[in-house]
Amino acid sequence: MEKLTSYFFLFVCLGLGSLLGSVIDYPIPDMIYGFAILFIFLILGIAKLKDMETASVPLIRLMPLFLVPATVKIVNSFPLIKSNGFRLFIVVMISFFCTLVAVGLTVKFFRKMQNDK
Amino acid sequence: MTSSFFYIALTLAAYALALKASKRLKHPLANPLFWSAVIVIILIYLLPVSFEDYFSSMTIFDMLLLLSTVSLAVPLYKNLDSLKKNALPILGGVLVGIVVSAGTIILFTKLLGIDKDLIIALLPKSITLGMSLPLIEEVGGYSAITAFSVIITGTSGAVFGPSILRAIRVDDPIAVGVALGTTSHVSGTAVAYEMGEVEGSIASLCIAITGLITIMLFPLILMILDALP
Repeated sequence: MEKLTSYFFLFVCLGLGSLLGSVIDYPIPDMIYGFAILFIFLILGIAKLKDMETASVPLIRLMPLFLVPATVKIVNSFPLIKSNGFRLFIVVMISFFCTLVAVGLTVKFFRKMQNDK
Repeated sequence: MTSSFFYIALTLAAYALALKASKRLKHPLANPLFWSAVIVIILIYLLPVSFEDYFSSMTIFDMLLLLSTVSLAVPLYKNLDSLKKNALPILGGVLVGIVVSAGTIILFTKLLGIDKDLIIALLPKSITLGMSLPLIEEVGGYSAITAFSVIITGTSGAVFGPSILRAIRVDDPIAVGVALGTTSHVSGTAVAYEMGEVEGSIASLCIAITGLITIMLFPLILMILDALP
């Protein structure tokens, strides 16, 4: 029963999210409102963590599977990728490296500050 | 041959195969998502079926992806205590990550003379596909390029992340978790979990936080991009 309730909650949150999305003018995906609504439901105790986990754990574990069609969609842009692929790849790799290093060092710095107090 | 169920079965089989291979090989480059997509693409090319039919049969996956992404709120709520105890390091790290990621992308794409539309598609590379694809679709961009950059970033984090962090002497579990989760989302988190429970749960927190903050700031980032030469 918890599984059904928790999936029901997810749909409710998504539904309310798209309602909010149609009203609010800010260009963010409706799903984000749904996310916020679910989070608020959890804080308020309307949704119970243990129950929601019966849905969230398998769903998140299977997320890569659900992403397969979106990944396959890359074929639609093969021409674009062929002409720009290498340059894009370089940029992404440089950015990845810089971001990883910057974040790692930043958190290390803040943690040291925390521990030195 | 063109029944939806065939395509769904195809996708499930490809994923099951890729997953088995990745567990057997235990190598980060054996990314199940990447290889199952490759298998599906090859099979659709070889068989007398079409990509259009494939995509129109995949709406159930899109819905499941939505459900799955929304449910990221659950682990975020569950780990709220860890977040509160380490709010400054985590949020500081996430914000730095977003700024450096966007900054380096804009800098290097401008240097290489890359089209603005492609730049926009690259920007959400640090947020999970479940959030970055709807975001790019919302602004009307090249979602395939976004998928391309997200997958490269995720895989790079899984393959190189731990060694890079070790090389710069970042070994604090929370620093490792934030770095891997913020930069390489789901793949980064998987690798973080292999390093430790703390690293993993912090990383999964950061997928949601990075995603949310990037999305909220995206219109601002686009405005800045517009204002640049």
